[in-house]
Amino acid sequence: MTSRRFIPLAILAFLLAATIPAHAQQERVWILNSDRSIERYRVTHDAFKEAWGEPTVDIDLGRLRLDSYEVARRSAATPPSAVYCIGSKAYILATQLMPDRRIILTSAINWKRLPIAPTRAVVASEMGIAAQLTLFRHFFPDVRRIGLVCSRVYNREWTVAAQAVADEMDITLEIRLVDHEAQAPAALEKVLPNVDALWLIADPVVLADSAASRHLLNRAASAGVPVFTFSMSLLEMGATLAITPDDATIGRQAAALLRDGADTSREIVEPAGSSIGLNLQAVDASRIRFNEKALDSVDRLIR
Amino acid sequence: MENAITAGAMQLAVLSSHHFRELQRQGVPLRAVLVGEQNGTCRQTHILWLRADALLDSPERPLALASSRSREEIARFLSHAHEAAPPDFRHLKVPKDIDALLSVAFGMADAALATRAAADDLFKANPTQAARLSAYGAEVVDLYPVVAALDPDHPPTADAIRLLERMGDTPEGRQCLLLLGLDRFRPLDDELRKELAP
Repeated sequence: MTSRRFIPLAILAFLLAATIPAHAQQERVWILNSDRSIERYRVTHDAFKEAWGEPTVDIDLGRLRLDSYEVARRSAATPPSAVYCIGSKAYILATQLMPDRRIILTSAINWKRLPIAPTRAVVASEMGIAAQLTLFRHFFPDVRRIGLVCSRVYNREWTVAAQAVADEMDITLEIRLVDHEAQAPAALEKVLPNVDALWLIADPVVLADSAASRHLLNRAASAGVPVFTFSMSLLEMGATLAITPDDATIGRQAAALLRDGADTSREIVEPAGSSIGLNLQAVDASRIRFNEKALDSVDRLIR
Repeated sequence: MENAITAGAMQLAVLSSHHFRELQRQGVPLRAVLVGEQNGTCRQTHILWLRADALLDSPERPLALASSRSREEIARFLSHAHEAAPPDFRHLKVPKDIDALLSVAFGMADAALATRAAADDLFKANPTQAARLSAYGAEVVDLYPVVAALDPDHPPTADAIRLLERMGDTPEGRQCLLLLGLDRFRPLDDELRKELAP
Protein backbone atom coordinates (compact mmCIF):
# COMPACT_ATOMS: atom_id res chain seq x y z
CA MET A 1 0.00 0.00 0.00
CA THR A 2 1.65 3.24 -1.06
CA SER A 3 1.43 6.47 0.87
CA ARG A 4 0.13 8.20 -2.25
CA ARG A 5 -3.10 6.26 -1.88
CA PHE A 6 -3.74 8.00 1.44
CA ILE A 7 -3.51 11.57 0.21
CA PRO A 8 -7.27 11.82 -0.48
CA LEU A 9 -7.83 10.35 2.99
CA ALA A 10 -5.81 13.10 4.62
CA ILE A 11 -7.88 15.69 2.79
CA LEU A 12 -11.06 13.94 3.85
CA ALA A 13 -9.89 13.84 7.47
CA PHE A 14 -9.18 17.55 7.33
CA LEU A 15 -12.63 18.32 5.93
CA LEU A 16 -14.36 16.09 8.46
CA ALA A 17 -12.46 17.66 11.34
CA ALA A 18 -13.50 21.08 10.19
CA THR A 19 -17.17 20.13 10.19
CA ILE A 20 -17.37 18.27 13.50
CA PRO A 21 -17.93 20.36 16.64
CA ALA A 22 -15.02 20.40 19.09
CA HIS A 23 -17.23 19.36 22.02
CA ALA A 24 -17.86 16.04 20.29
CA GLN A 25 -14.23 15.18 20.63
CA GLN A 26 -12.94 13.01 23.43
CA GLU A 27 -9.30 12.05 23.37
CA ARG A 28 -8.17 8.49 23.94
CA VAL A 29 -5.22 6.47 22.78
CA TRP A 30 -5.86 4.51 19.62
CA ILE A 31 -4.37 1.12 18.95
CA LEU A 32 -4.16 0.74 15.21
CA ASN A 33 -3.33 -2.89 14.50
CA SER A 34 -2.33 -3.85 10.95
CA ASP A 35 -3.82 -7.31 11.39
CA ARG A 36 -4.79 -8.72 14.78
CA SER A 37 -5.12 -12.23 13.36
CA ILE A 38 -1.30 -12.37 13.21
CA GLU A 39 -0.31 -13.87 16.54
CA ARG A 40 2.65 -11.65 17.32
CA TYR A 41 0.57 -8.54 16.57
CA ARG A 42 -2.14 -9.82 18.88
CA VAL A 43 0.31 -10.60 21.71
CA THR A 44 1.89 -7.15 21.39
CA HIS A 45 -1.55 -5.49 21.29
CA ASP A 46 -2.79 -7.27 24.43
CA ALA A 47 0.42 -6.57 26.36
CA PHE A 48 0.15 -2.88 25.48
CA LYS A 49 -3.43 -2.71 26.73
CA GLU A 50 -2.56 -4.42 30.00
CA ALA A 51 0.43 -2.15 30.60
CA TRP A 52 -1.43 1.00 29.55
CA GLY A 53 -4.32 0.22 31.89
CA GLU A 54 -6.70 2.83 30.53
CA PRO A 55 -9.48 2.53 27.95
CA THR A 56 -8.28 2.58 24.36
CA VAL A 57 -9.92 2.65 20.95
CA ASP A 58 -8.86 -0.55 19.18
CA ILE A 59 -8.96 -0.71 15.40
CA ASP A 60 -8.04 -3.89 13.56
CA LEU A 61 -7.19 -3.05 9.98
CA GLY A 62 -7.00 -6.75 9.10
CA ARG A 63 -10.34 -7.91 10.45
CA LEU A 64 -12.43 -5.01 9.26
CA ARG A 65 -10.87 -5.07 5.81
CA LEU A 66 -11.17 -1.58 6.86
CA ASP A 67 -12.42 0.97 4.63
CA SER A 68 -9.71 3.50 5.24
CA TYR A 69 -12.23 6.26 4.85
CA GLU A 70 -13.95 4.95 7.96
CA VAL A 71 -10.70 5.37 9.90
CA ALA A 72 -10.39 8.87 8.49
CA ARG A 73 -13.94 9.63 9.58
CA ARG A 74 -13.36 8.33 13.09
CA SER A 75 -10.07 10.16 13.48
CA ALA A 76 -11.76 13.38 12.47
CA ALA A 77 -14.78 12.84 14.71
CA THR A 78 -12.82 11.82 17.79
CA PRO A 79 -9.14 12.51 17.35
CA PRO A 80 -6.95 10.29 19.49
CA SER A 81 -4.54 11.70 22.03
CA ALA A 82 -1.90 9.40 20.57
CA VAL A 83 -1.75 6.42 18.24
CA TYR A 84 -0.01 3.14 18.90
CA CYS A 85 0.62 1.46 15.54
CA ILE A 86 1.32 -2.24 15.27
CA GLY A 87 2.89 -2.98 11.90
CA SER A 88 3.80 -0.70 9.02
CA LYS A 89 0.34 -0.68 7.39
CA ALA A 90 -1.10 0.92 10.51
CA TYR A 91 1.80 3.37 10.75
CA ILE A 92 1.49 4.58 7.17
CA LEU A 93 -2.22 5.17 7.65
CA ALA A 94 -1.73 6.97 10.97
CA THR A 95 0.99 9.26 9.67
CA GLN A 96 -1.23 10.24 6.76
CA LEU A 97 -4.41 10.81 8.75
CA MET A 98 -3.06 12.09 12.05
CA PRO A 99 0.38 13.57 11.39
CA ASP A 100 0.20 15.91 14.38
CA ARG A 101 -0.48 13.14 16.92
CA ARG A 102 2.12 11.37 18.99
CA ILE A 103 2.67 8.07 17.14
CA ILE A 104 4.42 4.97 18.48
CA LEU A 105 5.39 2.20 16.05
CA THR A 106 6.31 -1.40 16.80
CA SER A 107 6.41 -4.74 15.02
CA ALA A 108 7.34 -3.32 11.62
CA ILE A 109 10.13 -5.36 10.06
CA ASN A 110 10.86 -2.59 7.58
CA TRP A 111 10.74 0.25 10.12
CA LYS A 112 14.11 1.63 9.02
CA ARG A 113 12.67 2.40 5.62
CA LEU A 114 9.71 4.32 7.05
CA PRO A 115 9.85 8.06 7.77
CA ILE A 116 10.25 8.55 11.54
CA ALA A 117 9.60 12.22 12.22
CA PRO A 118 9.78 14.00 15.58
CA THR A 119 6.78 13.19 17.82
CA ARG A 120 7.17 9.58 16.73
CA ALA A 121 8.80 6.72 18.55
CA VAL A 122 9.74 3.22 17.53
CA VAL A 123 10.50 -0.02 19.30
CA ALA A 124 12.84 -1.73 16.86
CA SER A 125 11.87 -5.10 15.45
CA GLU A 126 15.22 -6.75 16.00
CA MET A 127 17.34 -7.26 19.06
CA GLY A 128 20.23 -4.84 19.44
CA ILE A 129 23.59 -5.92 18.10
CA ALA A 130 25.29 -5.78 21.50
CA ALA A 131 22.49 -7.72 23.19
CA GLN A 132 22.69 -10.43 20.53
CA LEU A 133 26.47 -10.74 20.76
CA THR A 134 26.23 -10.88 24.56
CA LEU A 135 23.67 -13.65 24.40
CA PHE A 136 25.72 -15.55 21.79
CA ARG A 137 28.62 -15.51 24.20
CA HIS A 138 26.38 -16.47 27.12
CA PHE A 139 25.52 -19.69 25.28
CA PHE A 140 28.88 -20.22 23.56
CA PRO A 141 31.53 -18.66 25.85
CA ASP A 142 34.47 -19.47 23.56
CA VAL A 143 33.09 -17.76 20.47
CA ARG A 144 35.71 -15.34 19.14
CA ARG A 145 35.25 -15.27 15.37
CA ILE A 146 31.80 -14.98 13.81
CA GLY A 147 31.12 -15.15 10.09
CA LEU A 148 28.58 -12.99 8.28
CA VAL A 149 27.43 -13.16 4.68
CA CYS A 150 25.08 -10.34 3.76
CA SER A 151 24.14 -8.01 0.97
CA ARG A 152 26.04 -4.84 0.30
CA VAL A 153 22.89 -2.91 -0.54
CA TYR A 154 20.79 -3.84 2.47
CA ASN A 155 23.26 -4.46 5.25
CA ARG A 156 26.60 -2.73 4.64
CA GLU A 157 25.80 0.01 7.16
CA TRP A 158 24.61 -2.54 9.66
CA THR A 159 27.89 -4.48 9.37
CA VAL A 160 29.87 -1.32 10.15
CA ALA A 161 27.86 -0.85 13.35
CA ALA A 162 28.17 -4.54 14.21
CA GLN A 163 31.94 -4.46 13.72
CA ALA A 164 32.27 -1.57 16.16
CA VAL A 165 30.26 -3.41 18.83
CA ALA A 166 32.13 -6.66 18.24
CA ASP A 167 35.47 -4.88 18.60
CA GLU A 168 34.44 -3.75 22.10
CA MET A 169 33.70 -7.36 23.00
CA ASP A 170 36.91 -8.69 21.51
CA ILE A 171 34.97 -10.59 18.87
CA THR A 172 36.15 -10.67 15.26
CA LEU A 173 33.50 -10.49 12.57
CA GLU A 174 34.48 -12.15 9.32
CA ILE A 175 32.21 -10.28 6.91
CA ARG A 176 31.59 -11.07 3.24
CA LEU A 177 29.34 -8.64 1.38
CA VAL A 178 27.59 -9.88 -1.75
CA ASP A 179 25.72 -8.13 -4.51
CA HIS A 180 23.64 -11.03 -5.78
CA GLU A 181 22.07 -14.13 -4.29
CA ALA A 182 24.25 -16.31 -6.52
CA GLN A 183 27.41 -14.99 -4.81
CA ALA A 184 26.34 -16.13 -1.34
CA PRO A 185 27.42 -19.81 -1.52
CA ALA A 186 30.96 -18.93 -2.59
CA ALA A 187 31.19 -16.22 0.08
CA LEU A 188 30.07 -18.74 2.67
CA GLU A 189 32.79 -21.21 1.62
CA LYS A 190 35.39 -18.52 2.21
CA VAL A 191 33.99 -17.68 5.65
CA LEU A 192 33.31 -21.10 7.16
CA PRO A 193 36.90 -22.35 7.62
CA ASN A 194 37.85 -19.25 9.61
CA VAL A 195 35.01 -18.86 12.11
CA ASP A 196 33.60 -20.36 15.31
CA ALA A 197 30.02 -19.56 14.31
CA LEU A 198 27.94 -18.18 11.44
CA TRP A 199 25.50 -15.32 12.06
CA LEU A 200 22.53 -15.22 9.68
CA ILE A 201 20.86 -11.82 9.82
CA ALA A 202 17.68 -10.70 8.07
CA ASP A 203 18.85 -10.25 4.50
CA PRO A 204 16.59 -10.45 1.45
CA VAL A 205 19.48 -11.25 -0.88
CA VAL A 206 21.34 -13.95 1.05
CA LEU A 207 18.17 -15.53 2.47
CA ALA A 208 16.26 -15.02 -0.77
CA ASP A 209 14.18 -18.19 -0.38
CA SER A 210 14.00 -21.36 1.64
CA ALA A 211 16.34 -23.22 -0.73
CA ALA A 212 19.05 -20.60 -0.23
CA SER A 213 18.55 -20.68 3.54
CA ARG A 214 18.68 -24.45 3.60
CA HIS A 215 21.90 -24.48 1.60
CA LEU A 216 23.61 -22.10 4.06
CA LEU A 217 22.42 -24.12 7.05
CA ASN A 218 23.49 -27.44 5.53
CA ARG A 219 26.95 -26.18 4.63
CA ALA A 220 27.48 -24.74 8.12
CA ALA A 221 26.31 -28.03 9.67
CA SER A 222 28.74 -30.00 7.49
CA ALA A 223 31.55 -27.80 8.71
CA GLY A 224 30.49 -28.19 12.37
CA VAL A 225 29.87 -24.46 12.61
CA PRO A 226 26.88 -23.40 14.76
CA VAL A 227 24.47 -20.92 13.21
CA PHE A 228 23.08 -17.97 15.17
CA THR A 229 20.01 -16.32 13.74
CA PHE A 230 17.10 -13.91 14.20
CA SER A 231 14.39 -16.37 13.19
CA MET A 232 12.59 -19.28 14.85
CA SER A 233 11.80 -20.60 11.36
CA LEU A 234 15.51 -20.90 10.62
CA LEU A 235 15.92 -22.62 13.98
CA GLU A 236 13.42 -25.25 12.87
CA MET A 237 15.36 -25.62 9.62
CA GLY A 238 18.57 -26.42 11.52
CA ALA A 239 20.05 -23.22 12.92
CA THR A 240 21.55 -23.58 16.38
CA LEU A 241 20.44 -20.50 18.31
CA ALA A 242 17.67 -18.01 17.53
CA ILE A 243 17.31 -14.74 19.37
CA THR A 244 14.18 -12.75 18.65
CA PRO A 245 12.38 -9.95 20.51
CA ASP A 246 9.69 -10.97 22.97
CA ASP A 247 6.43 -9.63 21.53
CA ALA A 248 4.72 -8.97 24.86
CA THR A 249 7.69 -6.92 26.10
CA ILE A 250 7.50 -4.82 22.92
CA GLY A 251 3.89 -3.94 23.74
CA ARG A 252 4.86 -2.98 27.29
CA GLN A 253 7.73 -0.84 26.00
CA ALA A 254 5.33 0.95 23.67
CA ALA A 255 3.09 1.77 26.65
CA ALA A 256 6.11 3.04 28.60
CA LEU A 257 7.20 5.23 25.68
CA LEU A 258 3.76 6.73 25.48
CA ARG A 259 3.54 7.33 29.21
CA ASP A 260 7.05 8.53 29.91
CA GLY A 261 8.48 9.73 26.62
CA ALA A 262 8.68 13.36 25.65
CA ASP A 263 5.93 14.16 23.16
CA THR A 264 8.19 16.05 20.85
CA SER A 265 11.26 13.90 20.66
CA ARG A 266 12.02 11.14 18.18
CA GLU A 267 12.83 8.03 20.13
CA ILE A 268 14.05 4.68 18.89
CA VAL A 269 14.57 1.96 21.45
CA GLU A 270 15.71 -1.62 21.21
CA PRO A 271 13.54 -4.50 22.40
CA ALA A 272 14.16 -5.15 26.08
CA GLY A 273 12.96 -8.74 26.20
CA SER A 274 14.20 -11.73 24.27
CA SER A 275 12.71 -14.99 23.11
CA ILE A 276 15.45 -17.56 22.72
CA GLY A 277 15.29 -20.78 20.75
CA LEU A 278 17.90 -23.53 20.88
CA ASN A 279 18.32 -26.56 18.66
CA LEU A 280 20.06 -29.21 20.76
CA GLN A 281 20.81 -31.45 17.79
CA ALA A 282 22.68 -28.58 16.18
CA VAL A 283 24.45 -27.86 19.47
CA ASP A 284 25.64 -31.47 19.69
CA ALA A 285 26.91 -31.33 16.12
CA SER A 286 28.89 -28.13 16.57
CA ARG A 287 32.57 -27.99 17.46
CA ILE A 288 32.41 -25.13 19.92
CA ARG A 289 31.83 -25.43 23.69
CA PHE A 290 28.24 -24.89 24.84
CA ASN A 291 27.39 -23.41 28.26
CA GLU A 292 24.71 -25.79 29.53
CA LYS A 293 23.99 -23.47 32.45
CA ALA A 294 22.48 -21.06 29.92
CA LEU A 295 19.63 -23.51 29.30
CA ASP A 296 17.48 -21.72 31.88
CA SER A 297 17.30 -18.76 29.46
CA VAL A 298 15.78 -20.86 26.68
CA ASP A 299 12.14 -20.31 25.74
CA ARG A 300 11.94 -22.80 22.92
CA LEU A 301 13.94 -26.00 22.79
CA ILE A 302 14.27 -28.32 19.81
CA ARG A 303 15.56 -31.73 20.84
CA MET B 1 -2.66 -24.35 41.89
CA GLU B 2 -4.11 -24.07 45.40
CA ASN B 3 -7.51 -25.18 44.08
CA ALA B 4 -6.00 -28.23 42.39
CA ILE B 5 -4.11 -29.14 45.54
CA THR B 6 -7.01 -28.69 47.94
CA ALA B 7 -9.30 -30.62 45.57
CA GLY B 8 -6.82 -33.49 45.64
CA ALA B 9 -6.20 -33.24 41.89
CA MET B 10 -2.54 -32.42 42.50
CA GLN B 11 -0.51 -34.38 45.03
CA LEU B 12 2.90 -32.91 44.31
CA ALA B 13 4.08 -29.50 43.19
CA VAL B 14 7.30 -27.68 42.30
CA LEU B 15 6.84 -24.08 43.37
CA SER B 16 8.77 -21.05 44.49
CA SER B 17 9.58 -20.84 48.17
CA HIS B 18 7.52 -17.63 48.31
CA HIS B 19 4.50 -19.34 46.78
CA PHE B 20 4.93 -22.26 49.18
CA ARG B 21 4.83 -19.91 52.17
CA GLU B 22 1.76 -18.18 50.76
CA LEU B 23 -0.06 -21.52 50.49
CA GLN B 24 0.99 -22.39 54.04
CA ARG B 25 -0.48 -19.11 55.22
CA GLN B 26 -3.73 -19.97 53.44
CA GLY B 27 -3.82 -23.26 55.35
CA VAL B 28 -3.07 -25.55 52.39
CA PRO B 29 -1.57 -28.63 54.10
CA LEU B 30 1.50 -28.98 51.90
CA ARG B 31 4.81 -30.32 53.22
CA ALA B 32 8.07 -29.30 51.57
CA VAL B 33 10.36 -32.28 50.96
CA LEU B 34 13.02 -31.21 48.45
CA VAL B 35 14.67 -27.95 47.51
CA GLY B 36 16.51 -26.94 44.36
CA GLU B 37 20.26 -26.48 44.37
CA GLN B 38 22.63 -24.74 42.01
CA ASN B 39 26.40 -24.48 42.28
CA GLY B 40 26.30 -26.17 45.68
CA THR B 41 23.81 -23.78 47.29
CA CYS B 42 20.05 -23.81 47.89
CA ARG B 43 19.87 -20.05 48.20
CA GLN B 44 19.60 -17.40 45.52
CA THR B 45 20.40 -13.76 46.09
CA HIS B 46 18.15 -11.04 44.66
CA ILE B 47 19.68 -7.63 44.14
CA LEU B 48 18.63 -4.27 42.72
CA TRP B 49 21.12 -3.41 39.97
CA LEU B 50 21.42 0.22 38.95
CA ARG B 51 22.92 1.85 35.90
CA ALA B 52 25.75 4.16 36.89
CA ASP B 53 23.87 7.36 35.98
CA ALA B 54 20.42 6.29 37.21
CA LEU B 55 18.67 8.51 39.73
CA LEU B 56 16.77 6.74 42.48
CA ASP B 57 14.86 9.80 43.58
CA SER B 58 14.29 11.73 40.40
CA PRO B 59 11.53 14.28 40.91
CA GLU B 60 10.72 14.14 37.20
CA ARG B 61 10.02 10.48 36.68
CA PRO B 62 10.03 7.22 38.60
CA LEU B 63 12.75 4.65 38.24
CA ALA B 64 12.28 2.48 35.13
CA LEU B 65 12.80 -0.95 36.63
CA ALA B 66 13.07 -4.07 34.46
CA SER B 67 12.41 -7.45 35.98
CA SER B 68 10.91 -10.83 35.23
CA ARG B 69 9.08 -10.66 38.56
CA SER B 70 5.60 -9.31 39.18
CA ARG B 71 5.02 -5.76 40.38
CA GLU B 72 3.96 -7.14 43.79
CA GLU B 73 7.17 -9.16 44.14
CA ILE B 74 9.25 -6.12 43.26
CA ALA B 75 7.40 -3.94 45.77
CA ARG B 76 7.94 -6.58 48.44
CA PHE B 77 11.64 -6.79 47.61
CA LEU B 78 12.03 -3.03 47.75
CA SER B 79 10.27 -2.77 51.08
CA HIS B 80 12.66 -5.41 52.49
CA ALA B 81 15.82 -4.07 50.93
CA HIS B 82 15.04 -0.36 51.25
CA GLU B 83 12.97 -0.15 54.39
CA ALA B 84 13.46 3.57 54.95
CA ALA B 85 12.35 4.86 51.57
CA PRO B 86 11.65 2.36 48.81
CA PRO B 87 12.06 4.13 45.47
CA ASP B 88 9.04 4.84 43.30
CA PHE B 89 9.31 2.75 40.15
CA ARG B 90 7.76 2.09 36.79
CA HIS B 91 7.78 -1.64 36.04
CA LEU B 92 8.96 -3.04 32.70
CA LYS B 93 8.24 -6.74 32.80
CA VAL B 94 10.70 -8.82 30.77
CA PRO B 95 10.88 -12.59 30.33
CA LYS B 96 14.20 -13.33 32.04
CA ASP B 97 16.74 -11.96 34.49
CA ILE B 98 19.37 -11.65 31.77
CA ASP B 99 16.94 -9.48 29.75
CA ALA B 100 16.43 -7.22 32.75
CA LEU B 101 20.18 -6.77 33.18
CA LEU B 102 20.75 -6.20 29.46
CA SER B 103 17.96 -3.59 29.52
CA VAL B 104 19.91 -1.64 32.10
CA ALA B 105 23.26 -2.14 30.39
CA PHE B 106 21.88 -0.91 27.06
CA GLY B 107 19.75 1.94 28.38
CA MET B 108 16.19 0.61 28.10
CA ALA B 109 15.78 0.72 31.89
CA ASP B 110 17.42 2.42 34.87
CA ALA B 111 17.45 -0.57 37.17
CA ALA B 112 16.91 -4.31 37.23
CA LEU B 113 15.84 -6.67 39.96
CA ALA B 114 17.73 -9.86 39.21
CA THR B 115 19.75 -12.57 40.89
CA ARG B 116 23.47 -12.37 41.52
CA ALA B 117 23.86 -15.53 39.40
CA ALA B 118 22.34 -13.73 36.39
CA ALA B 119 24.67 -10.77 36.89
CA ASP B 120 27.60 -13.20 37.03
CA ASP B 121 26.43 -14.63 33.70
CA LEU B 122 26.38 -11.15 32.20
CA PHE B 123 29.81 -10.40 33.61
CA LYS B 124 31.24 -13.51 31.93
CA ALA B 125 29.55 -12.78 28.59
CA ASN B 126 30.15 -9.03 28.44
CA PRO B 127 32.30 -7.62 31.26
CA THR B 128 32.30 -4.10 29.79
CA GLN B 129 28.53 -3.82 29.97
CA ALA B 130 28.34 -5.59 33.32
CA ALA B 131 30.73 -3.02 34.74
CA ARG B 132 28.06 -0.35 34.12
CA LEU B 133 25.82 -1.99 36.72
CA SER B 134 26.19 -1.55 40.43
CA ALA B 135 24.40 -3.37 43.23
CA TYR B 136 22.25 -1.07 45.31
CA GLY B 137 20.81 -1.59 48.78
CA ALA B 138 20.48 -4.77 50.72
CA GLU B 139 20.38 -8.22 49.19
CA VAL B 140 17.41 -10.48 49.73
CA VAL B 141 18.23 -14.16 50.00
CA ASP B 142 15.63 -16.80 49.27
CA LEU B 143 15.54 -20.51 48.59
CA TYR B 144 15.38 -22.02 45.13
CA PRO B 145 12.07 -23.70 44.21
CA VAL B 146 10.85 -26.45 46.50
CA VAL B 147 9.07 -29.73 45.90
CA ALA B 148 6.04 -30.01 48.19
CA ALA B 149 3.45 -32.74 48.66
CA LEU B 150 0.13 -33.19 50.43
CA ASP B 151 1.17 -36.62 51.74
CA PRO B 152 4.83 -37.37 51.01
CA ASP B 153 4.53 -40.85 52.50
CA HIS B 154 1.73 -41.95 50.19
CA PRO B 155 3.53 -44.61 48.06
CA PRO B 156 2.96 -43.11 44.55
CA THR B 157 3.92 -39.67 45.85
CA ALA B 158 6.98 -41.06 47.61
CA ASP B 159 8.04 -42.74 44.33
CA ALA B 160 7.67 -39.45 42.46
CA ILE B 161 9.74 -37.64 45.09
CA ARG B 162 12.50 -40.24 44.78
CA LEU B 163 12.45 -39.78 40.99
CA LEU B 164 12.79 -36.01 41.35
CA GLU B 165 15.67 -36.46 43.79
CA ARG B 166 17.48 -38.66 41.26
CA MET B 167 16.67 -36.54 38.21
CA GLY B 168 20.27 -35.54 37.73
CA ASP B 169 21.33 -39.16 37.28
CA THR B 170 20.12 -39.31 33.67
CA PRO B 171 21.03 -36.94 30.81
CA GLU B 172 17.35 -36.19 30.13
CA GLY B 173 16.65 -35.47 33.78
CA ARG B 174 19.73 -33.32 34.10
CA GLN B 175 18.63 -31.33 31.06
CA CYS B 176 15.22 -30.71 32.65
CA LEU B 177 16.91 -29.48 35.80
CA LEU B 178 19.14 -27.13 33.81
CA LEU B 179 16.08 -25.69 32.08
CA LEU B 180 14.84 -24.79 35.57
CA GLY B 181 18.22 -23.28 36.42
CA LEU B 182 19.04 -26.07 38.90
CA ASP B 183 21.67 -28.76 39.28
CA ARG B 184 19.56 -31.05 41.46
CA PHE B 185 16.81 -31.34 44.07
CA ARG B 186 18.07 -32.26 47.53
CA PRO B 187 16.22 -33.22 50.72
CA LEU B 188 15.33 -30.43 53.11
CA ASP B 189 17.12 -30.38 56.45
CA ASP B 190 15.73 -28.79 59.62
CA GLU B 191 17.50 -25.49 59.05
CA LEU B 192 16.00 -25.13 55.56
CA ARG B 193 12.56 -26.14 56.88
CA LYS B 194 12.72 -23.28 59.37
CA GLU B 195 13.40 -20.87 56.52
CA LEU B 196 10.22 -22.05 54.84
CA ALA B 197 8.05 -21.31 57.85
CA PRO B 198 5.26 -18.89 56.87
